[in-house]
Amino acid sequence: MPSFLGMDLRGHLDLLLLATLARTGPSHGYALITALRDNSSGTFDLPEGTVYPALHRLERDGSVVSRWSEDAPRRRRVYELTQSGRAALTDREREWTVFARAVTQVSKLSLRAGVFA
Amino acid sequence: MSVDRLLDNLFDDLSGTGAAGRRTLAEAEDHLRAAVADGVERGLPTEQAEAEAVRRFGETRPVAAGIRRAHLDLRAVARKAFTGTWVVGIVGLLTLGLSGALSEAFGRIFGAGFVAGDRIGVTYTASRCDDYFEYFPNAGSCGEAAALHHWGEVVQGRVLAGILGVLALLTLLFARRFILRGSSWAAPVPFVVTVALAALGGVAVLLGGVSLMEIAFGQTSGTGVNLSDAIAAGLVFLAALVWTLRYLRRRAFA
Repeated sequence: MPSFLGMDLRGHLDLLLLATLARTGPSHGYALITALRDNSSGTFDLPEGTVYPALHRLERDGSVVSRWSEDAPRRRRVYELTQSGRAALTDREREWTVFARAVTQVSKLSLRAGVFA
Repeated sequence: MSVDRLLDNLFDDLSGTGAAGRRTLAEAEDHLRAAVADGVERGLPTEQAEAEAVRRFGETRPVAAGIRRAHLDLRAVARKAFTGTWVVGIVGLLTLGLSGALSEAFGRIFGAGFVAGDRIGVTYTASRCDDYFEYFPNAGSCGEAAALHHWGEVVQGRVLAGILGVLALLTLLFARRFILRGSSWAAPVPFVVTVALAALGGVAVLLGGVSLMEIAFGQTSGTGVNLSDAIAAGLVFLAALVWTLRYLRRRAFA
């Protein structure tokens, strides 16, 4: 499995986190990054600390809300998707689908051109 | 690196981020303890689980930088820039006022010529001399009368700047008390001190060096104005330096 560690995922991290949150429900940072790694079969093996600035940014933008949970042995911050976050996720998924389809289309054309050149 | 060491580093890197930093530190600690517990559950020895948790977490500096960016409040930055610039202006004006007091003292001790005397070769027209003698009829020469007049101007200009600095300080204190309330309006002291160190240190070295060279070569006429500026700048520079050293000492304990 290729590692995307060196690839600039900053632009996509918000989408990945929103999608993971939508899938897992209310979760804390460690659970989210673990779910992201597992759901991508280890492809998105990010430095785990990077998840926190992204979550704080999403909270500032109103896409997620957070609260302290006292249920676990340690106090932990639990994040939850908001209505606005769900709308943002839908928009970003749509944008990503268009983008990915276009990249695939162009790369396939290039491959064919390379084969027949 | 141990989990505790990573948390110490993160704590240092998050310095000055307030509530956001404290929350991030708590989240990171929970994250790392959970990761170690997972590792131990998978059968890793505690030390190895801890090393893996630390490695997976990554560098602390980008995390702290990201937290700063995520909580960046441009309005707060603008507020601090405003009060910071205001305070820098106050420091500059008060330094000029101090220099005015020193120029007055130099003139009284060493004579007006030391502060505002003309360079060799400077002459005045007869009508200009008459003007100076009108102000200072007891002066022994036109040059002396001119020096007395210019000394007054040097002192007056600088003392006025000092008074303006005091007024600006009082206005700022009033504004902070009644209008610009709250910590978001607090002047960024390290920024002010850095500017003071750089600007006043430069002024002190440059003008002080020129004045001392002039005195060493026997040129004392008009040297006092630069010397008083240099001493005033040097004194404020020293105050800023003492503050910086005490600040660094407070932050440097292990």
